[in-house]
Amino acid sequence: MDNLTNVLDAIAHPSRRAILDRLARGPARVTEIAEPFDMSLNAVSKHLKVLEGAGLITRDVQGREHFIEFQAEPLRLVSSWVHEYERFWTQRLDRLEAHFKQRKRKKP
Amino acid sequence: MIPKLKTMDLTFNRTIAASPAEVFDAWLDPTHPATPFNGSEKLLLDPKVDGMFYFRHLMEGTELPHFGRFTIVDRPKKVQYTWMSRHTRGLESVVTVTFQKKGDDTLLTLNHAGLPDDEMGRAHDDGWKHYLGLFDQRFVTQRA
Repeated sequence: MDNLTNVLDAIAHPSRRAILDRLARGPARVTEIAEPFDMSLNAVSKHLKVLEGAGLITRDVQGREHFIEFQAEPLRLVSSWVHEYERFWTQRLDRLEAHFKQRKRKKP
Repeated sequence: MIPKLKTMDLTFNRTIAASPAEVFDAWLDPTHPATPFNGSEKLLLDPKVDGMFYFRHLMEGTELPHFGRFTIVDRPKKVQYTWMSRHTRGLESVVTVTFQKKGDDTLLTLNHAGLPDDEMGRAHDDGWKHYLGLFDQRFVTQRA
């Protein structure tokens, strides 16, 4: 999977978006993140793993404490994907690519 | 003084099954079905340095005029033109297309630089807006 897909998957789940909203206010421990949610620590950990896989959070280990920190950079992939010209050029270049591919196939 | 808008670039790479000259010529030939200039309701195109283009085509459900000036026309390697539309918010963005030989094919690289990097430019879907707002705050802080 490419990075954009990882990021889109990560933010597709409402609980993970709520976790990111919490972390956007500042780093937090896993227990603090889990507090407002009606789910097990295990379920929260699973969500954090998905966010970590997409590069949206990092862990800062200080002694026995794990602090989770929000990383905004991967959201740039999403922001450029939704730009009008991202869609415009993607469509146009798809067409150009398909046209020549088709022409090549027709050649003996 | 007009405040400077934050800008962003987009870059695309495609491998096209034709020679650089064929792809270059197709790109600037409005009758070619695969060129981005094709399918316009009204088109003016003068692909030489300091030549201008103007076209109107359907984007996001509305007819949108685009215009610009060619700054580099170097067949079959490179073409560059400025690019303005409602979506560039008055900024003169720059499109650079390079055509590199890659075996029997052509590696086409398109860079669209100087696009306004604002919420309106990026997000039509309300669902993204909250997220992009969040992203904006954090990203701007990190870059500062």
